[in-house]
Amino acid sequence: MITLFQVIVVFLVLLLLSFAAPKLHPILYVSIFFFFLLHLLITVIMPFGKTFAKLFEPLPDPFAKLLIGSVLLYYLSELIAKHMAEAGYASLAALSHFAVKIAILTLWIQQTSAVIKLLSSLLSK
Amino acid sequence: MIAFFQNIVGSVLNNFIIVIIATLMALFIDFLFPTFSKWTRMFLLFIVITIVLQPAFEHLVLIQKIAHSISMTFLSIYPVLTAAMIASGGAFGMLNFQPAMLLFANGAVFLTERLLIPLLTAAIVLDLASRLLPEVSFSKMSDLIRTTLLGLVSALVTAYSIFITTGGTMSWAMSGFASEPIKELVRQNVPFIGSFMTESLGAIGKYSSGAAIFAGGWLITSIWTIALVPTLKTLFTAFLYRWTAALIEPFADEDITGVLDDIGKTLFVLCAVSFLIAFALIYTALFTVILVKLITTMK
Repeated sequence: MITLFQVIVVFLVLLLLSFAAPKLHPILYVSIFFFFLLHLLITVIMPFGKTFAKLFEPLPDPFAKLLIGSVLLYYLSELIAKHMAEAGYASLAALSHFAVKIAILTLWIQQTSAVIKLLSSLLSK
Repeated sequence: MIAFFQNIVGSVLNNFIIVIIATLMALFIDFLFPTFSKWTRMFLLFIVITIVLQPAFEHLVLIQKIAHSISMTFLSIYPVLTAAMIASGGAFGMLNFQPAMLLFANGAVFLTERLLIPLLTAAIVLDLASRLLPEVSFSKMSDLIRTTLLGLVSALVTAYSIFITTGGTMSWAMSGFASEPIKELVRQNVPFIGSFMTESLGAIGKYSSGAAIFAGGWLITSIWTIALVPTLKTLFTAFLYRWTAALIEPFADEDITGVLDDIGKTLFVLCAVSFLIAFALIYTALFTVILVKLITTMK
């Protein structure tokens, strides 16, 4: 509820800024966006991620954390990429999203190799 | 016996509870991050493959190992057995044993080790591949492999029963009325291989009930138990897979339940295959027992 209120305040501030200083509006928008993202990350997303990870602790070790971490990474990267695309730098956005995707895949490489090893151990006999 | 089942249930059921929790988690994540849903499904499949399929793979490897060691044992024991048969001479004539049966049993185990189990592995891998990439589906192929294997195994078991019944004096019919309801129960409730199981158990039962005169009921029972333990274990695990698939169907992805179901089917066929090994073992063990008894009583 507090978060919703904060979002409304940010929205109003942005609207005011667009009237007060239209030339400065894009850069102020970007800075407020990132500031607010950081705020949300610290107050809402991180604690929720931790409780979520604790909730699914019975799952075998790396999977729950890996899945939550990669999902959060993907979501953040998507947000930032969308933001860049809105500012008119669509190709840069695609590039950054691609890089984050590769990072997520690298997180999963160990698990993938385990699967491949399991299957190939079946086949080699 | 109860501890044995608890052991299986404990090790296998854990994995299934993990599947259920993982599907719940995937549901949560799908709700929060709908754009990631394709990958959530993929990672869920990963979890299923690495954790849940472990028991299935273990069974496959176990049966393979058993087949290998039994075929090795047969190779070493059969010359001795044949020599003993020749040495006992006329005593064997009245029993009307089929010496070819030994060769047949060995051949069946060899076939199992070299052909049937690798084919089953191929079926599992094809199933997994077709679930991972639904566009490139091999599900018909793996179904074909499974049905072919089942047909092959049934044919082999029929051949066994022919050998046994032409043995003449060795077979007498079990009292059919008593076991009929149980047979019907098994036939109805074990999917895929139910009727096969009753038929083949009937065939081998006919044989061993004849042999019980010579060997004694308890010995037969213990041989049966030893030979059938891996089979029973496999059967039970297969059932657990299908139960889990049924349990998580309402809220899980179709792929996950499909994988579990397919693996269950494959394990049923593996169970049928392991029957072949069990038969060969039962036959050889009983044969050895009777041979030893004959040799000792003739003197």
